[in-house]
Amino acid sequence: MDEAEDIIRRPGIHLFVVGISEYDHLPPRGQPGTESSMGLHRLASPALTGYRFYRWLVEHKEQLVLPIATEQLLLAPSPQELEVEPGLADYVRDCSFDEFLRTAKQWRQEAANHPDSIAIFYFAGHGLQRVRKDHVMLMQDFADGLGARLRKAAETSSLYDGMAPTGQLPNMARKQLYFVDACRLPPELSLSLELQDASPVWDPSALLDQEAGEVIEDDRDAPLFFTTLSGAESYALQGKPSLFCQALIRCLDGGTGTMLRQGASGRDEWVVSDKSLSFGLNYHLPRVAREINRRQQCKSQWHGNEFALLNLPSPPTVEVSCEVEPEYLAQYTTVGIHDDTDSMVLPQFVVDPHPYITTLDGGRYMVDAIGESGNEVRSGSGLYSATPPSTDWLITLK
Amino acid sequence: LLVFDARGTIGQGPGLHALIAGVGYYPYLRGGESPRSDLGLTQLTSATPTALAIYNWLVRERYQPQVPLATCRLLLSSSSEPKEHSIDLVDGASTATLSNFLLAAHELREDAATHPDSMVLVYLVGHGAQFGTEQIFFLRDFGGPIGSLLHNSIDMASLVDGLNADPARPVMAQTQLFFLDMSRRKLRELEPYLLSSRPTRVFDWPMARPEYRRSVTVFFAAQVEQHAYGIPDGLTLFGDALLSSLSGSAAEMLTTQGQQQWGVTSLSLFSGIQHEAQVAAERLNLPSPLKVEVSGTLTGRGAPFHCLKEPPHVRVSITVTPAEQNAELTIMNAQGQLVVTIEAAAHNTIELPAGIYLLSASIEGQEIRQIFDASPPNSEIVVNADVDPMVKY
Repeated sequence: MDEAEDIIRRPGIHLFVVGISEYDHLPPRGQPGTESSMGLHRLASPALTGYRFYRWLVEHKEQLVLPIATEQLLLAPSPQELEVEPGLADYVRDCSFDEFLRTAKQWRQEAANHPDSIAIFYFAGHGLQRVRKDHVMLMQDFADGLGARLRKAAETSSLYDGMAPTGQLPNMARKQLYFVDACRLPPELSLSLELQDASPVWDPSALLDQEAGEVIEDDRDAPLFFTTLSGAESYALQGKPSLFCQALIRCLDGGTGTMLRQGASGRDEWVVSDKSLSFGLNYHLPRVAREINRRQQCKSQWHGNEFALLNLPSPPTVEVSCEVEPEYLAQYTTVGIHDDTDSMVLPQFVVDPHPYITTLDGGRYMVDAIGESGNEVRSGSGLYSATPPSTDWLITLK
Repeated sequence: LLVFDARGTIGQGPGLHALIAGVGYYPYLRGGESPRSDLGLTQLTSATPTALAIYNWLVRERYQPQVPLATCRLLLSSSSEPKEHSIDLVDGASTATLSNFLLAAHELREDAATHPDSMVLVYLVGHGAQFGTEQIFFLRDFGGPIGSLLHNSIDMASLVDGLNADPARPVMAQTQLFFLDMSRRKLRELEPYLLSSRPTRVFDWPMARPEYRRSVTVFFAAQVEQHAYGIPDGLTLFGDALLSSLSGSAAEMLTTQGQQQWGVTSLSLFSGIQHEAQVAAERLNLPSPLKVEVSGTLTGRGAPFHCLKEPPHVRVSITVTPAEQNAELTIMNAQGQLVVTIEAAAHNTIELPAGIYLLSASIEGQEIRQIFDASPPNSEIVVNADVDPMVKY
């Protein structure tokens, strides 16, 4: 067995990233559409979004719990994105529906190399969450005017279901992560589309294991993150990654985390897991959105157990909100925070404004506080945890 | 239908509105009074005990609410008492027929539409299946001679979707928890009816409607194509895991209105149920690990749901490196009070109330102090004398 073959047989991360900005049959923003374009326009963020997510993983490969084994990238950038990120030019690909199907099939085969592998899917582009039917992802040749409207739209659930282990693919990666970072469709169209079928990614009969003669239970740990609530906006600024991607990268950069094992001070083992990503995204996404005066909230679906995606080289950053009881002493209260080697981790501070917001490394701390107002002197001390992404501390003075 | 009603005392304020249905007896399935449909489904002996256990937990003062319990509707169909349909088990409980279920769901929606800070809890236990892409739940009269085959089954998505706000009900309880304790297998016997028979929709709802924010979490006892399990004449594994989780293994520290308290949220419940279900599956030697599935809109750290009177107990595993004879571990709580002193071995397991602690030890001449969290359900601590020279505390 040569080295390349050996690598492909070992557990690894199998990436499939799709970012479609340059839709062939949609008009540029500001120009009138066609009958089949359904009010949608070309975008100037999804390809850059997919690229930045991919680059982050490649540039932090040492932190990933497994090596990146295979990568499938389908990126269709706008001229504006190519201007912002010239490196994208090396990754421009046909993102038609047929090419998506071909690549999905390839990714599925690759991800089936080992049950301990991790499969990651990221879609950025136009999408639609129908009220009763499943979410669909619109491919580059969407709205070509041929056939049914959603013929060039892939059913997200079909992609997901088809990645389950089968008798023919018993070694399918059991850990899978899905990010669907899709813009919304105008709500006035949702009724007409509700009754239309999109295209499945796989032939459903292929999933029934009839040929293999055995049924393998779907024992994947495989959460899905939708970047917005059903029927709500998903935002991006032109020429920048989507807000969701920005929030995701904040999480991966240590904006969230799960402690695997507690050691002595500074020696805790922290990872970013799918669950901590959920905490982190629910914390960071609204904040990223607020920076441009928008509201955005993500939705997640959960299957199976928590699993780690990457090891954090240092503890994650935690926003700590310190409150003092009784409240009237807050602005007269000085707080000192130490780690368990008695080192002061922050300069002493007065709890003003109240609550006082600060940031700390994830971990556990000793806190001393003294409140003095006139003749009244009260003090408090205790042990506190800073759990990412944010923690509230209530310091009681006696 | 109502087995608990505190709307009079709660008045206009928010409350928890619960609907529990346990269907163990199916007269038209194998083993029933008039078996007609053979879908490979038999009577269930764990559904009614589970529904009653959830009812007891909720109503009989074990629920420490974020909002007070306002209403509880209970529908039962017991395998052991077919003639009485088990409605005598609890005063006010009704038989789990389709018409009673629809009425209960309607009343639940009306109650939930009175305050945005109210909560909804739905627990359904009985036979279920995947039908096409839909999850359906079989009510007592499933398979009966009247109506189409699936008439006495309900489409779960229609229940969840229908409890959203809409123009007719602009106010709706924003926190909603659904526990669907049923199998999710596709029944081959139902495939011929995919086009002709439909499960009953619990609600209609407008297709294009503005977005209403709600935190809805749906817990499935099994993943698609998998069975849910129950102990004969006992509880279902999912129900048992839920109750254990609520007792503490799913707890985390909550801060509400400036007060810190151990409690359970929709997201912490997921981890807790998953943990407890797997422990149970291992104990029972099930053929494959039991995997609970959760979907919904999870916001923040999940919606707070239930508070604990006391911190839950946590199994703490402490590994000491290097292991030394006669080493002593002293553990103090966050208030500086001594909790326990133990003779340290290489591996030590103790039980502590959940919280944060200071561990002190003297190992190979080194004085070690280490702060640690005891977090449900288990915590693992490593005390390493090799690497951390002590600085005074």
